[in-house]
Order: sequence, then C-alpha cells, then structure tokens
Amino acid sequence: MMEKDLSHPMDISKEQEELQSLKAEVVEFTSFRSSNLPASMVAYRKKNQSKKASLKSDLKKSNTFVKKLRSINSEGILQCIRDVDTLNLSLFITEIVNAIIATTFKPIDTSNMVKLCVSLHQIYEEFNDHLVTNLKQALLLPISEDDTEASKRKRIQIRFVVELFQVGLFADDEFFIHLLRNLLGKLPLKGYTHADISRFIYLSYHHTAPVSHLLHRQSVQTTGWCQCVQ
Amino acid sequence: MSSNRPPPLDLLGLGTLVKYGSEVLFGYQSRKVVDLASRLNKPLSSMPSKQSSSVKVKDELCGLINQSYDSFVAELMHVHKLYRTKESRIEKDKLIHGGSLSEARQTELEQAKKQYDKYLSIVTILSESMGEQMPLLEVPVAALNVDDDT
Repeated sequence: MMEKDLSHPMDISKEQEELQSLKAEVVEFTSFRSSNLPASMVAYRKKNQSKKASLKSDLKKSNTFVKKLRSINSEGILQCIRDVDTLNLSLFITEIVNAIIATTFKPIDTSNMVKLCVSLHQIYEEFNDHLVTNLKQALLLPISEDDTEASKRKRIQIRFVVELFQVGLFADDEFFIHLLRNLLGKLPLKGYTHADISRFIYLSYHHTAPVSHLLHRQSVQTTGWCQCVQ
Repeated sequence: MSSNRPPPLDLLGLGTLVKYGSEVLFGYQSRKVVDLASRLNKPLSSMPSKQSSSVKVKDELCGLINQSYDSFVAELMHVHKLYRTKESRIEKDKLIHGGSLSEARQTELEQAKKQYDKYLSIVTILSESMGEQMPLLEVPVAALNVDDDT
C-alpha cells in the first residue's frame, strides 16, 4: 500500500504529460485544418497575391507537371510539390484535377498527394471546387466487383478524401453519409442518385460561376437540380 | 433507371472509410486515448478529439455503422462455419482418396476462404474502431461433421 502511494504522483505526472501532448496534437491539427477552410484561405491568398504573380508561365514545364501526375510515383509527387512554388499552373487546373482523379497512386503516397493538393489550393481558388466535384462523382459511381484496378483506385480515393477532410480541403461532411450508404449497398438519398451527380458534373462544367453551393442537400431536396440553376 | 437499384455492398471500401475516418468522422477514440482516459479516471467525452464532422453527421454515420455491425458479425459466424465445414470435409476426402482433390472442390474451398477473410477483415476493423470485442469464432466438432452445404 505504502509503495503504491509513493508511485502514484509519478504515474499521474506521466499521464498528465501524455494528456498535454495529446491536447497539443489536437490543437495543431485543428489550427492547420481551419487555416485551409475557405474563409481563412481567402485572406491567405490575398496576402500572398504577389507570390502568384511571380510564378513562371512555362507551357513545356506545365505539361511535364501534368504528365508526371499521370504516371505518379513518390519522387514525382515531391517534385510536383516543389514545382507548384515556381510554375504558374492556372491554365492547367482541370487537367491536373483529372490526372489526380484518374491516377491510381500507391496508398503510401496519399499523404504527399494531399500535401500537393494543399499547395495548389493555397494558390488557385478554382482548384478545390474542381477536385471536390470530381472526387464526389468518382466515389459514388458504381464499379464492377471484378474490376480490381477500379476497386483499388476507389479505396485509395476513399482514404484520399478522408485525408482531404482532415486538412480542411474537403468541408462537406454530409457527403460521407452518402458515401457510407453507397458502400453499405443502401439506396442513395434524394439528390445523390447517379443521375443527380452526373447532372451536377454537367452543370459544373457548363457554368462559369462555381456551382458547388448547389450540392447543399436542402436546396436539392426542395427545389431540384434544374430549378436550382434557373 | 439504374438509380433505383441499390449499389453493391463494398466491404473493402467500407473498411477503408472506417479505418481512416474512425476518429475524424465517426468520433471513435483510439485505444491509446481510451486507455489514457481510464488511467486518468476521466470520461471519454472529456478527452481531446480530432473529430471534425458535425454532431448530426457523426450520429448518422455511427447509426448506420451500428446497424450494420451486428449483421456483419452474424455473416462472419456463418461464413466461418461454412469454411471450416468445407475444410474439414475436404481433409477427410483427401485421406480417403490419397491426397488428391478435384478442381471444383478446391475452388469451392477457396471461395469460402475468400468470403471468410472478407468478413473477418471488416469485423476486425469495425470492432477495433468501435471498441467492441471480436466475436468468438468457434465451430463445434459435431457441426463440422454435418453434411450441409448451405
């Protein structure tokens, strides 16, 4: 009993230490996440506008950047992250997003892929809307069980979208309800049928104004897609 | 229209979502945090968490997973029994026929094992995330001798 009493304060301090380090980890996580959320990002981009103006427009290098993304490997992603700081990729955003969605990168490269997306998101306002829209469509599309490559890509994309959510690039948490229902083999909720998603993608490509706000469930349920656009 | 047809169950995808979104989406705490909370004698709800989904979304996600968990456990027990029964019967046949096994029976056993592995994997991930005990997988010897392919 005596021995226990003596060891007790030490145990407490060790546990308190663990708790403090856990708290610090969560604070760091939360502050990084909120720094990437749309509201903070507007201010960040404004502050770093001069940086964007200093980026070099180089068609050849930009094409190489997209090619590198399509045939991705760990070293390629790291090079792409470095290139984002020097190249002006404004005209290549759609191609970059398409390459990210179509590529089956290795699970180990997911974190670096997220870092690349954070770097692009910090500079190009339109990048995130394109990425999120395409990713949502890719994740809710049915895939054949026999298509092992598509199934593998889908699992990597699921991990990718969760990590994007962790860093604040993907803010629509309600989407995960639809994704979970989809994975559980349940019928989609209204506004998230395949036809709705396809229509949304069509609209997002054919309207100059960003239409991501149309994905808001309530507006979909009350007015329907076509009325939303009108 | 195909949109009226439910999508197929994707166990591997589900496992990935729960594994990586366990804390941030579903709000499940890691074993390490659960252990620390019990050592500090604190309620789990007072521990720092990375959960970033809204309470409404978290509740809905957990509700969907809780609903499915029991059915996955039941299915795991079923496919485990099926696999063990097939395995024991094939072992017996091997002894009778001098070690050879028809291709059809081999495929049948492989299919049963694949199903068992699939459900074992998802139940393991869900149990670990939800802090549930893994179900005990035991097949009574008498059940192994029953000639039942269902």
